[in-house]
Amino acid sequence: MVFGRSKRARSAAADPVTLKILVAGGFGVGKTTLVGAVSEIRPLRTEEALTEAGRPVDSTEGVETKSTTTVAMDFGRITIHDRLVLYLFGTPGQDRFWFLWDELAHGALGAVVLADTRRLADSFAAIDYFERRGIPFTVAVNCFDGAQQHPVETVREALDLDGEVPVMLCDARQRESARDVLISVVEHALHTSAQAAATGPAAEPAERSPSTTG
Amino acid sequence: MTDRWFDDAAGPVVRPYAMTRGRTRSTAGDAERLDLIALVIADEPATGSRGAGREPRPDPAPPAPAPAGDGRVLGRRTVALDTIDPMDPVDPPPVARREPGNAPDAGEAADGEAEDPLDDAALAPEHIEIVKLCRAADLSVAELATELDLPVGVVRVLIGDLLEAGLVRVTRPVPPAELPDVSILREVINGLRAL
Repeated sequence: MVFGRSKRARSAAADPVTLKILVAGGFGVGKTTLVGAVSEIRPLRTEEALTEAGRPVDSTEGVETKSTTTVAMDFGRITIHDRLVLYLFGTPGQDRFWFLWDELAHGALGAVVLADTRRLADSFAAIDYFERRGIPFTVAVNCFDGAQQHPVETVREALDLDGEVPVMLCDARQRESARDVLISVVEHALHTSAQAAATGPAAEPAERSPSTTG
Repeated sequence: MTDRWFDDAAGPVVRPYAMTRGRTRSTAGDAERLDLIALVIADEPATGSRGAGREPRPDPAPPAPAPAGDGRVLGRRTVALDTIDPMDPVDPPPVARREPGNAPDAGEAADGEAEDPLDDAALAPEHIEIVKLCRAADLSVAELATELDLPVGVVRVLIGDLLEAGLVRVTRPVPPAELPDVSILREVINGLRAL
């Protein structure tokens, strides 16, 4: 499969690079679906509580009963090439697992905030989280069947987003759509990174750590 | 409510606790910092006969583990979820038969090797499982946790043991607060576009 190799890497320099993108959003907004749409492996779950047995994974009914069940992180993988692998992590939907967010966000390249226009407030926490930590993110509005479609600008206003934060409509079930969301995240990260490089050293001389490259 | 939560948690917690012999952190200093996406790479056995790459290695093995691995996870998950009741002392089925002292199971990568460091009696079956999985393919910490059906914290401790034993090494993902190289980001974008 992806890592079938003809010779083992001998030095750290030759080791594959791994990156991660987080997929956040309210409960039942389609995080697992989005991860599954682009992942080359079935979304895997870690740290699943055994009491979860037999319960439908993405049931949106009985949300309150679900709050006693899992500490789960969905994740998927996209192998860009054999030296570069992108991992996708769905964040836990419940508030009491914020401690896991820190671990997940650690070193993340960027994030997707998946939103449902019927429950926009559910995405506030995630947006706030990434804004505070300076993690580049894209807001992707998952267009559920039957939900009224809102123009992107309306959503941007409703969420009070910075002008540079990409907002887009998506269908988390569609591979192409989910892929485009990820591309948007990486492009945004690239942009942010370029901006930081351009303005960083000159405009912010008093920053705590002078420069990442020293 | 709180009482109930603890009751529920007790079952799943006991086995991992025993597996790490009560350790919640690795004794290898840096292992607890192991990122979820750090890749665990099996080091060549120092005493093994395949220093020059891969000649004596039985080659039927490498292609097989990937699909088999996924299937096994799912299979095991089903078993675990369906049959393990916290009240019911079911043995951990997948690993119980693989005692480190025994001759290595046929069919695994350890086949053709006279001295495999995995024969070390100090290693638990889960340690061996990790090394075997990593020999087949580099796997991230998160993937190993899923393959073994164990909490990430437990897997970190086990990987720490293997680091100390020199059986594996881990990659360091891009440090936080430092975005990856622009060229890498471009590669990612191009790679995604090609999906």
